Amino acid sequence: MPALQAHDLRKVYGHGESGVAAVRGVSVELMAGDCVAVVGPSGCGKSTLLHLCGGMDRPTAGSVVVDGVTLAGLGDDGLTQLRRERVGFVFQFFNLLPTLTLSENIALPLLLAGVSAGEGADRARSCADAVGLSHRLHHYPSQVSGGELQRSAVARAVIHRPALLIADEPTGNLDTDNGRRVLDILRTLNEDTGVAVLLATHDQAVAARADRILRMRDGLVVVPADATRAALPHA
Amino acid sequence: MSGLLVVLRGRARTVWTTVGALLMCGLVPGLTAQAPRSTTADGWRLAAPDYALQFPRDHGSHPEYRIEWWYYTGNLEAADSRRFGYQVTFFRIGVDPAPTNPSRWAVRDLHMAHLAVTDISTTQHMTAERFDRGGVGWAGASERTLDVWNGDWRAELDGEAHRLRAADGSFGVDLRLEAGKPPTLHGDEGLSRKGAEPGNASHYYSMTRMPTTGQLRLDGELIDVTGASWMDHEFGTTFLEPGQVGWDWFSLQLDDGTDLMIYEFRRGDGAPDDFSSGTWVGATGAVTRLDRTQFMLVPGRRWSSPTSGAAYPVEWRVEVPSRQAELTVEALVDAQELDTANSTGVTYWEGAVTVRGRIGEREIQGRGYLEMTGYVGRPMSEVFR
Amino acid sequence: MASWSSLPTRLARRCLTRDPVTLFRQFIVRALVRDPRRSLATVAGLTLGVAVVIAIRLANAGSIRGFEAALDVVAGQTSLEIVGAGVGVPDGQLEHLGWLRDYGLVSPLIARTARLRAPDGTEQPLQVLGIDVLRDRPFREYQLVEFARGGRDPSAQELLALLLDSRSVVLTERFATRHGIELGSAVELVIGDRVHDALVRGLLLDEGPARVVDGQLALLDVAVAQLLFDRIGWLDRVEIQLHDATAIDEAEQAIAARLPDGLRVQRPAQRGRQVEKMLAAFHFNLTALSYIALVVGLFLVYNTVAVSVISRRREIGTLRALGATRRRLLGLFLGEAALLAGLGTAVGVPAGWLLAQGAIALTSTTVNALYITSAATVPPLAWFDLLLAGGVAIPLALAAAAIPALEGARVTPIAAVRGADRFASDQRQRMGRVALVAAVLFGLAGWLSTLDPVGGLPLYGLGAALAVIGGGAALVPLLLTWLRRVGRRAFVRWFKVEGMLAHANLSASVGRLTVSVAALVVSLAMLAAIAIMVGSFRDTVTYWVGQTLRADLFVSAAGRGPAGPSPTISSDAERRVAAHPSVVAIDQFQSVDLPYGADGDLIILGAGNFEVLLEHGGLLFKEPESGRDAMARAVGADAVVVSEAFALKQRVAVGETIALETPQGARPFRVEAIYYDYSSDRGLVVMDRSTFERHYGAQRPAGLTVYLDPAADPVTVREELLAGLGPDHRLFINTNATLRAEVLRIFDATFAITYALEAIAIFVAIMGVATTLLTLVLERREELAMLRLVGAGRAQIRRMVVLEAAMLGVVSQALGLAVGVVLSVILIYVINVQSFGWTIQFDLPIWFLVRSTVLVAVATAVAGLYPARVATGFAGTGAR
Repeated sequence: MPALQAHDLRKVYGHGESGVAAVRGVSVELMAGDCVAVVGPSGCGKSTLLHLCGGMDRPTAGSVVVDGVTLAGLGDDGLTQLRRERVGFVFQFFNLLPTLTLSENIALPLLLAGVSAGEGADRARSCADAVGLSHRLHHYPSQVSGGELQRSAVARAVIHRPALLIADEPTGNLDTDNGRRVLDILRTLNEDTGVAVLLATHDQAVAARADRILRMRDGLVVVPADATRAALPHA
Repeated sequence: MSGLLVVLRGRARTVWTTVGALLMCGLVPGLTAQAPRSTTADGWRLAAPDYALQFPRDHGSHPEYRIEWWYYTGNLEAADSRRFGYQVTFFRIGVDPAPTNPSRWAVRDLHMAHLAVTDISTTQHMTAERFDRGGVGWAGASERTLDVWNGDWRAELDGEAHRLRAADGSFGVDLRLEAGKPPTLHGDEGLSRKGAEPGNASHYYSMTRMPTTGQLRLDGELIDVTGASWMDHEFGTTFLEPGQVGWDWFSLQLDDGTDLMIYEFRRGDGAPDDFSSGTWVGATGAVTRLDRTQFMLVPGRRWSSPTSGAAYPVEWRVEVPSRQAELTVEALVDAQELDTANSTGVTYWEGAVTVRGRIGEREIQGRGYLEMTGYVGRPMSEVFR
Repeated sequence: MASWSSLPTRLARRCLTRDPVTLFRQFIVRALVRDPRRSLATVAGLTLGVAVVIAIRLANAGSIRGFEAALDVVAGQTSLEIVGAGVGVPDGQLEHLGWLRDYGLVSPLIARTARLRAPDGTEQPLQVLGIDVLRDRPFREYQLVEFARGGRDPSAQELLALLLDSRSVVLTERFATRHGIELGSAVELVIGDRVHDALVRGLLLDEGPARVVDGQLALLDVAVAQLLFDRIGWLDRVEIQLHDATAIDEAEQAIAARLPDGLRVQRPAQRGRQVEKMLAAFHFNLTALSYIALVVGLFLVYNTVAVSVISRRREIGTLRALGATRRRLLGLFLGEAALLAGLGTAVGVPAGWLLAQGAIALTSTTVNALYITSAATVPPLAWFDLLLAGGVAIPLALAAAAIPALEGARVTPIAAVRGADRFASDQRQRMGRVALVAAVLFGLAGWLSTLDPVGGLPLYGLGAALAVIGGGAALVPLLLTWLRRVGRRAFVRWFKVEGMLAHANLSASVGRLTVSVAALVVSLAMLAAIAIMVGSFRDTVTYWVGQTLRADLFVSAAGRGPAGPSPTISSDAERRVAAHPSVVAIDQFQSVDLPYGADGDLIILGAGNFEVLLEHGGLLFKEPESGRDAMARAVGADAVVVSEAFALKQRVAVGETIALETPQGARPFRVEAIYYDYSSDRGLVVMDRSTFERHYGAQRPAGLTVYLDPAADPVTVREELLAGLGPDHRLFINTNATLRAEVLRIFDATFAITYALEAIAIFVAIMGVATTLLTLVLERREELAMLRLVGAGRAQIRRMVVLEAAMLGVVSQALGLAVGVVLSVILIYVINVQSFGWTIQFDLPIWFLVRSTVLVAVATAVAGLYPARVATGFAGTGAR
């Protein structure tokens, strides 16, 4: 079962002639264990594509199936549940809640899903181990470095064992060393747990670490000549 | 006579008709020709022949009768020969001889008073009035002797003399009136009949020539004056009868010592009424009654009041044939009209007059007062019905 | 500079060209317009605050004005008036007052109230003037309809003729039209316990005096009035119209010097001033209370300006970078406060007028029940009201805004570059200072509580209350900080993840929440304090009523006994009551208003049958221990017992001698005892009936207390008595039980306005909490989106925000209760004693407080619903 099947996605912001098409017909499919990088300049539509695939936004046309669940039929609560159970997110600006400890931040998806605080803390600890943060669990976000913040965000993104991990410029706000370390963790998780990773970046070095590269411009996928594995052509 | 009485009664009628029958019982005399009564249905005593006047008691008040007044008029002169006339009148009008309300304010009697001073040299005529209920001491009259007051206006006995004080703002009088001649009883021993019905009468006497001294206040100036006054005191319950529209009343003091009182009721058709009468008081005090056939009044020049519109005869010819008296009476000032809207509510003329003429062969001069009523307002006949 | 593009270049240019108005419009006004919800909430809060202040001012003015209107009618052209000691002017004195005519015109007057049964079946209260028309004409104008048709005024005789009959009454055309009365209509006048048939003999034109009391005016002849009001021999006043009105001072002095003992000369306005003074404490406390709503409204201003400053640090930094001076920025934010306050004032003043209509209904119940009977009407709005509201609200708003505005002005240009950093949280260092402030304020409150009142008003007591409130407000940051440290575990246990998030959010915003919570704490503390005071008071009164009201039946001529000339019981009615076989004893009681002391305070002089009271009654004595023995000593003697309020206000102790005005002049009376009384704050002096009659003459009693054979059933006896009265008498007979209920009903009505005012303040405060939460929610937009991304459902977000609101409510209530208890102690033992002179037993109304706590939690939670809805609106894409 593919972790993500997106077919002919289109997204228009606004209405009628004044509408701006951010994504103009993109299809992408990730199997478990896949790691795909979406690259392209600012405004090419890569973030929009990620939002659509992660169930954060609804496409104007096209379909998204995550881990066998068709998003089109889901209401707000359905989408919330989907994100809570099958999708993880990592963003450029970490987006940790400043008022929760790292442990609480990491456990948040579980807590929101109704898991008890104790179990949440236990699982947060094991996740934190995996990203090398066990010594920082009771610190607040303001008390740790950017690399540690992003590692916490990664831990939070996978604590509920999602099928799909959406990472939007995960290294964009980090120095090279910390960026590499976050990427290492992402790849390790990808390979160890089989979580499919859809990663947007404008950094060629980052993209190079993906299995496949999807190059976008003006809302369309541009098939690159030097791709190691060809992206699926679209109609 | 100060026939104002009638007007007051008439006035009372118009006013009190609205109050209801309570006050009206017995107020319509002469309509029922029955046996003589001694009191009206509402308890007022009627004037009757069995009453003998005594003094000073009868200078006092007679509250068992409905209507009563004390009437002072006089001609005064200052040292610089300026001449003045004055009038001070106290009225008592009974409303309810025995009020059931024990309140001191319950109206048994109403008290009114008029004050007028005429400055003949300037033709100024000043008037003032007072209106109070009795009971709380603001106005009243003693039953034992002469002491009648309304506010600080007062007439009282001082030995034999009458003290008379009344002032309003810038004008007033403060006078001492010696008794002069003894009281003159009018009509039949003081019973003065006014109509056919026996009860329609009053007890009426005058002090016809009272040597007067005192002070007059005029525009704040105090003027010593001397002169002669005339006092009328009259009380009764019912007086006039239908058809008596108004009257003309004369009190004249002649320089031969004679005093003359005459009143004549005017009827609707202009004819004098049968119950008009007069009294001739000789210099020695000898009193002669004059009935209506014994005198004649002829009105002369008229003066029209610019305020009320009434046309008053201010010159009269007075003849008493039995005494060969032919007199001309002239107002010293034409404008001596009183509008007493805030007390009696009647407009009448009351003023100082001068007298010229002859009695027999003798040239006579004199002074006096003239009162004329019923020249304005509704006819008395209407008022009565 | 990166931020150049984020601001219109035109705006940047404005900064440099120094055009403050345009900058204000672009920077402040537009922002307010763009965020209408918050702007509206702030303006609405201020509007309510201003409205409440204005409403109370108008209602207070209205209740006095109602009286003064009646006063005007009665006073007419009167320059001076002669009044007697308590029972009036004996009319026998008039003969000796003839000299008054040297000064002016003199007219007697009886001014009382009666009720009139109209043909339409309704019963209406009337101001009744008993006049002597012969004297009265220059004082008041009477235009009668039937004469006006003829184009003239009635003459004195004509008026007299109308009034002379003891059945005559003259009413007003306005009143007649309203109740289907015509000239000649038969009506019934209910005066005291008697019903009199009357005929309407005249109708006053709807002009002048007839209009002032809304036509509720009747004229009687003074003699008729004396008879009907059982006042034979007495006048209420004698009026004087001076010949020379300009020489009023000289005339007043000269007349005062010549008047015999027992009579006083005063100006008619004096009575207005007496009433004003009588109501001063009551009105003062209402006014003080009304300002709470305004103060709470000012918290909103603080809040709004604070939000402006906080949420726009980057923009402020940019403006600073572009050359805007600190002073200009300060001006901008103060301008914002002034604008909001100006709008609040402009809307609040007319809103206050509307509110006053409701408030006056509430206050006039009290004023009528306890002080005077008057037709209170709301006076029209005056420019003064607008000036007052603006003059109070705008400067206060500026002061409230000054703190955040100064903070805004301190933003450095670097903030523009660095981006919007969070509100500096240097709370920790401040805590020590805050604790010190709280301690100082509480200490100040303690000291102020010991000071004496100023002019009968509890100014220092109020200062103490303010200090306690300030101290309570200062405790808020301490409490919130403490909560941040210790609360998390409990919240997680009780409310799971939402609890954790809510606690985390609140903990992060302590600085921001302090002001809103403080506002709510202040309001709730006031509510708690008032609830405690009123509850304690009510308990005390209930106990007092139980002890004091021992009689079985209470007979009065009217439903209740307001101050002022009270209707009396006729001897006829008294005989019939006494004749009932079950009646064991009767006490006739009497009360008159009497000016007392150098200030002429209107006290109540009462008279009762001490022997009956000793045998059957149950006065509660404060001093001496053996109050009953003391009372026994006062029987028939020149001695009195006085109420606690009298003793306190006039500083009188047992054994001292007080001077009371009597018709024979001032007379000494020995104070034998002080007793507890809660029926009037004016102070009561009570003497034995025989003593009273000896000094004040035989007056009809205002009521009877009737003691029955223990075997008799009061309800049955009451019915038998009423049935035996016949149609020409009307008595109000309360049984012991119904009178107690009536006392408590009046009590509750009295405090209705208090609760109404307090409710408004709480409403405003809760609105403040809601706007604060809304601000926090808007600020946390990104976090909320993040939460949604990581799987928080709408319901969870909503629960979280509502929980935050409820937590604020509960925390506020907790502190509010604590502060409220302290405040109630000041209310009960300082302000109440100084204003009213009552001893109140402190008592915590536990259930009320529990209920109110739940209610506040629910109300704040409900107030959180709107920000919660806004919060759930931030869907996933918000995350950058």
